[in-house]
Amino acid sequence: MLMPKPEKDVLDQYPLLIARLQESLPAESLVLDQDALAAFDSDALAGYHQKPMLVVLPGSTEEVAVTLKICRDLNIKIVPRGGGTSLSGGALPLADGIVLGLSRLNKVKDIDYANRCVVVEPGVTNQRITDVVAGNGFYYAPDPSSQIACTIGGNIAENSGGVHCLKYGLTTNNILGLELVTIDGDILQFGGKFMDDTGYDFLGLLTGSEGLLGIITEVTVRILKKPEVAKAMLVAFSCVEDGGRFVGDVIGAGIIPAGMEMMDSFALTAVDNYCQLGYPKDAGAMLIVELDGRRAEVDDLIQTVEAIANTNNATNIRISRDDQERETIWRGRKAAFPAVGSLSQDYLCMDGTIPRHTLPDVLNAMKEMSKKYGLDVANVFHAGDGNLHPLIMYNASIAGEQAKAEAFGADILKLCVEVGGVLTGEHGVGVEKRDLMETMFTDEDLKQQQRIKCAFDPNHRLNPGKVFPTLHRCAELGHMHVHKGSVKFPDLPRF
Amino acid sequence: MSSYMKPANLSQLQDCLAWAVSSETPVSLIGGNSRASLGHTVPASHTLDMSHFSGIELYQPEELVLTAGAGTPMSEIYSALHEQGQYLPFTPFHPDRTLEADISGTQAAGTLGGMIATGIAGARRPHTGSVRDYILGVEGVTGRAAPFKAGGRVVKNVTGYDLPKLMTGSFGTLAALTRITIKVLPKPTLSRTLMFAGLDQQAGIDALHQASLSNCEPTGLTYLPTDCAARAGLEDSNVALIRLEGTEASVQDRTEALIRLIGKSCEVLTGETEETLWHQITSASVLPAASQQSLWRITLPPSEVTDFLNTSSLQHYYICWGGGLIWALAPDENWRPQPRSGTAMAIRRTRDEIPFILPPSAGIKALAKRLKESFDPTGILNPGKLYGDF
Repeated sequence: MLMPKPEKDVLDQYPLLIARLQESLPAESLVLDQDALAAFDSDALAGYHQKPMLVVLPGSTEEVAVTLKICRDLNIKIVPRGGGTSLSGGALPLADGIVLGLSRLNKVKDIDYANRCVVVEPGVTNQRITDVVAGNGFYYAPDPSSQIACTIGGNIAENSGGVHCLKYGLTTNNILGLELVTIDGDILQFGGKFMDDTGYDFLGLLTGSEGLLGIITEVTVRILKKPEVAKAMLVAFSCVEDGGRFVGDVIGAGIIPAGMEMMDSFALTAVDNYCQLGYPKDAGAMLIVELDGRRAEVDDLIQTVEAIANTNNATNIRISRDDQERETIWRGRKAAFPAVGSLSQDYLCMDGTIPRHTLPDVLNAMKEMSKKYGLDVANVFHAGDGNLHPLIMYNASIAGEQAKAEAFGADILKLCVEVGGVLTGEHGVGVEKRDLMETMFTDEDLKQQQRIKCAFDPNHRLNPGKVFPTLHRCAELGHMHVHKGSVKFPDLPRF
Repeated sequence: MSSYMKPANLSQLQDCLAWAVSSETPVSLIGGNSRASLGHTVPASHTLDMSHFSGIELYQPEELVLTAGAGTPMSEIYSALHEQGQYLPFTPFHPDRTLEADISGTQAAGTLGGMIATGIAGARRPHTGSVRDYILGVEGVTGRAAPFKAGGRVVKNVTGYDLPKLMTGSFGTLAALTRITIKVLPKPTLSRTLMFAGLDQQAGIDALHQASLSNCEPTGLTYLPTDCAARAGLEDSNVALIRLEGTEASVQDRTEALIRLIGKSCEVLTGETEETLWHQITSASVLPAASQQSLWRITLPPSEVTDFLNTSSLQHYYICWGGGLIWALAPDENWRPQPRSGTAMAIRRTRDEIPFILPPSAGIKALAKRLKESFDPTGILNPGKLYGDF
């Protein structure tokens, strides 16, 4: 994956940049030492490394603003970084840019039960938000699997999901307010402790914008009352088709489970070998269904789901009797990535979303691809919302194998788009899927998205090289293709 | 000169907008022409009617997804959903009060495009999310006369900027949408509303507050002062209304839990009485009808509702969203709501000088203007409709 070529005149600003930053920021906000910079040279997307010019770790919104003003004066590029857990290379540094790490902005500023929200700085981890309100029976719903390490700022940038999205939504459905520092260093407040701000939906636009539009310095999230009880069911089927039909029937019956996860036979065997949970290894597909709410409701729904499972030829059904059993059922799903990791030197985790009914076809096509590339693939699947995570196993020390795995992954994502799905459900485009954007969008679609980028960042200094396969200058994008007099009056019915 | 353009297909729509761009002529967008009263008057003598982009193209109940032309009548959408036992949980607001009797929605006015462009949610919003939480994908033509699409037809999608959300509530100022994909949900099998009568305002607000902090998952939390309750055909007293929806076992269990929690006796409303009531609450028809006063929809932090009411000297108002939303008639013609934090929209304006929405900060307004220009640099699409001056 090629990144934009470093600009020499930007690199030449290095001494001046250091001088200006040292003049304006305390020493603890700067990382200049080359060895220390190595810790920031990549995120969780394996195989991509680049040392930045330097790292700024601001201690306040004002320090973020000052840093952005200095960068504007010197034309320096900025790569924002939260917990560094991006699977798509969203925080991959640039040789001619700084990394702006938000990890020191980690205060919980306000816990407001009356308004059911929490105000936090961007460096607060996802898990910590739930931790600070759990004592009062509340939680923050989006739960990406990296939740102990990933930050809420990064969750905003990527619009992170998790296993409970179908019922509780993604990050974008669970936030009320954002504070944004613009590329010019201005501080703007969007929304607050209330719902449905008027005017353009900036919260919607900024969430999932992958650090290309501004720096988030404060987030107001909604918290929910923890359900009285949650129960997990483990349901095995002899084939993926039965499992797929079961999922459709559950939703068709009007039930929206808190979570509904599927593993194919490869994944469930890998998981069971890894954690010995007594999973039915001969199953062709296994589902975990979680139902939550008040006890009376959960007991009621469990019976319905069990009946639906039996109608669809379930070969094995297990229902958790307490939280410990529920956690045991989930443990395997949560260990799916390390379990596959234990079987293979390296693996690539893909993230397409498909219309759910296409699942059997997509899995069969993937089997064919697996043969063609000579690489194994295990599948874990957020079955409720159609988000697929194929794990492609390879060995990076064998020459050419990483490229082969990437080509396999690209083929899977193209297939997702072909069947009516999308390239990424929750990991983001970043560097990883940047060059596949044209399989989903036309040139004009992408140009319009970049015009929005230009409205926020006219010189492409915020996280360039991510999301968009081709960088257009903003002046060029502003050009109108319709000229005065060049289009004839349309021939239309008129009244 | 004025004209009325009604493009039959994408290429004609592009032609219309290309003409508007080249002649720098603003156009006013309409779908069903039923929400035209919302927003500032657009200084345009040319109308672009989108109603030919009509029809449900894909509806897969098991996938919880529906794609339709932006000009599709809402009545058609409600009928299709009703047949499959599904619904739009956010219950969109519609300004036409004459439709209040039509519960099933089969006579609903307006189009899908109009519902998305206005983006105003009803009583379930705190529990189920707003209009913007249900839009998955859009196609249309920008103010550059260029066709574009964004989003998709799956629930989980982070591929590119979330333009479907940006389109929602943008009042047709960014693009003319032709096709829209939304998420739908199964309709709960049972609904029941607990009515606590005779509570004074603070006790009523406290009851809503208690319910919203419980795990009873109420899908409606409204307080009606006496005059509104009477107009809704309820008791001649203040009422706090709490709606519960779900399976029978679940609703029964939560009903008992809530009555215990609030510690007061209540009446239980069901069936058509209940449905009509929530329809009236969503459409603000519990307030006096032919009024010479502006009608405001104010959203604010629920904990600030008492302060706001104490400092606003309102005569006619009611509370929704457990305190997060107040519908109010302006007490005099110059009145504007001033919530400490929050925002407001003038659903009905008696004078043109009254802003349609409370103005955002200068920084946000400048950014909104640049965003508008990125889609519509010559300002041809509904100029001024939302922000007043662009």
